[in-house]
Amino acid sequence: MKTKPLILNKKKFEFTSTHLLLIVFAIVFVVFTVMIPDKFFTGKNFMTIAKYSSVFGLIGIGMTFIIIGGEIDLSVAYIVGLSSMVMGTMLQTIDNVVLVAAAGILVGLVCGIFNGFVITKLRLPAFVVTIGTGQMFNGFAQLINNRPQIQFSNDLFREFSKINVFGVIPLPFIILLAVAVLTWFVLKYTVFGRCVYAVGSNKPASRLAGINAAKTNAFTFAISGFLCGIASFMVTSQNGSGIAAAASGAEMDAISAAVLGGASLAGGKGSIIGTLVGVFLLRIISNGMNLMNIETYWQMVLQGSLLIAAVIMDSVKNNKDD
Amino acid sequence: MEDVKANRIKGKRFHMTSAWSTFFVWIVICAIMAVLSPYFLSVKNFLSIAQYSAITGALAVGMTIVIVGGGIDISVGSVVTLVGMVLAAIMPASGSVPLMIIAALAIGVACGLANGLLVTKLNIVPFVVTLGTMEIFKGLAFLTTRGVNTPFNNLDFAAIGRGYSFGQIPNSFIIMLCMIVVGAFLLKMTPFGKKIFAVGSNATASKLAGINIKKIKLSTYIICGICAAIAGLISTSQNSAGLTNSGDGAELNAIAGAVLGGASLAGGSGSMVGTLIGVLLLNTITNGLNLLGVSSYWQLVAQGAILVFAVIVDSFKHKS
Repeated sequence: MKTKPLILNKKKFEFTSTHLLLIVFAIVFVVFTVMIPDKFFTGKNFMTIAKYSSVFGLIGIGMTFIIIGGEIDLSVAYIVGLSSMVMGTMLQTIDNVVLVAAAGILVGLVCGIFNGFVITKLRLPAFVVTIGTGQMFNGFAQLINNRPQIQFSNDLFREFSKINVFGVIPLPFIILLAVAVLTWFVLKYTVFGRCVYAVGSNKPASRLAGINAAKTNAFTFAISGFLCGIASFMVTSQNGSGIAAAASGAEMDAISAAVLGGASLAGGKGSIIGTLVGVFLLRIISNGMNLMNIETYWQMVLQGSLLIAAVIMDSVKNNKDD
Repeated sequence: MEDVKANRIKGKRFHMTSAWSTFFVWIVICAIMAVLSPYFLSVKNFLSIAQYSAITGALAVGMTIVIVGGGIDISVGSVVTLVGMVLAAIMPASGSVPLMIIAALAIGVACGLANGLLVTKLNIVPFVVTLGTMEIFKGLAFLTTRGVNTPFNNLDFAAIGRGYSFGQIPNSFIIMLCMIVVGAFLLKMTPFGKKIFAVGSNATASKLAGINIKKIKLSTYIICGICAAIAGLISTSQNSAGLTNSGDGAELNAIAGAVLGGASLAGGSGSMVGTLIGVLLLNTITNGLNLLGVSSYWQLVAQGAILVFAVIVDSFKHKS
């Protein structure tokens, strides 16, 4: 008899954390549907949202790994930019699309490994280091051609982002879903995944348990870099040119999405599904504001506010847990 | 005995790594530049370095105080942009210089207050708060002039950043030196300064010692906001315009200057003299690269690399 109210309490508590996001998502969705029905609730628009969600989703998934491990990466947008400029430049002379895409993804991976190496080997605070490395990547991206943007004329490369599976679902979105399933599995069911959670929630304890914490964290940065590389391939294909600022502000989006989805900046918490819902929410808000012709500057203000709101929610939750 | 000796040597090295070693590095870089460029070793060039150090310097003064208190503020660059845009927007209506100064300082206090309240009242990690407000302030800055660079013509106002006093000494450099002196006085000589050090080195202990840590932290962010506003004032005056990119990357240089000068990101250490040397070092490197005709993109790389380097040096200090 006594156990009944306890279970109810527990259920109520769970409700506030995860499902709140879904409710907000539903409200935003309904509001936009009512306010701009002819533009928002159309198949074409959903395809647009799906396409942009793929880019930000991949970056968000990478960020989720890093945040669960208790670190942060503020250089992701510049990793995407550097990779994009490398691909744009290579396409000037090389026609082999696979080679160029592989090189772009490799650039992302190398940047991620570099971040992970510097942060974990030297035990430095990740946020300052990645501000620094971000600026370095940004500089390199623009150095390649001495300009921040380079157009290419490879149609096959451009075509990639326009492919639709079954005629309706953009290929980038399918890739996002595949990556999401894979990373969800890795986080939930593999030794490495559990190690990431362990390291993030209590580093000293995980070390005593025999986990190589530095290696685990370094791996999360490498994964994030790799995913940034794929995201860069998508966004470069969409834009038809290499752009150093292709994903500017993505670090904020990715952190907001991860935290909205239940990740805690203190580490040890977070889920791929939560992050994906967070990414969709942010993309729908941005898409709706675009359709309503709201200035991008207001969107910047909103983006920053959402990040802070997400973190406030996180801190309130943590205080409750204590 | 040998152990003791070894320790002592280590201890000495540790001491060297702060302000003095930065000063040493600065001298070395000056020497290298003097060899590489015939234009480097001239009074005119050094005055130009002094003039352009003012913006980074003003930012670094505030940043040092925040870092000593155990926080960080990466929104300062956006405050610079915001001040520039707002001043450029109100300039046509009134050209009164005191009004401009008051407006700028008000913006600084408001931004610092917003950061400080979010950090202290809601207990959020400072770098995330200021990452968010960085975007918000930038958005607000762009909203005031619709994202357009806005030049203006006001000779009185331009004198703040471009004018000279006592013959050849740039006004902006004098402003920065005054800020350094006031900052050093505040940190070293006042109870408030001692409390900032206490809060930064051990917040829990300071709380037990009866210090109102939230109030101290809030004050450091407000001071940082004011310093950023002064930097914005100097920058706007030097450009005679509100520029959309005037504050881009400024937080990087401010953090690097403070950390190179001996401030530790863990909080509880740092000095204004060190910061001044750190800032001069950064601007000498920029000046040197400009004289050598190095691409501005390489300078971005250098900026980032110097910050990472400064953090590495800082962490080695802690380990020893």
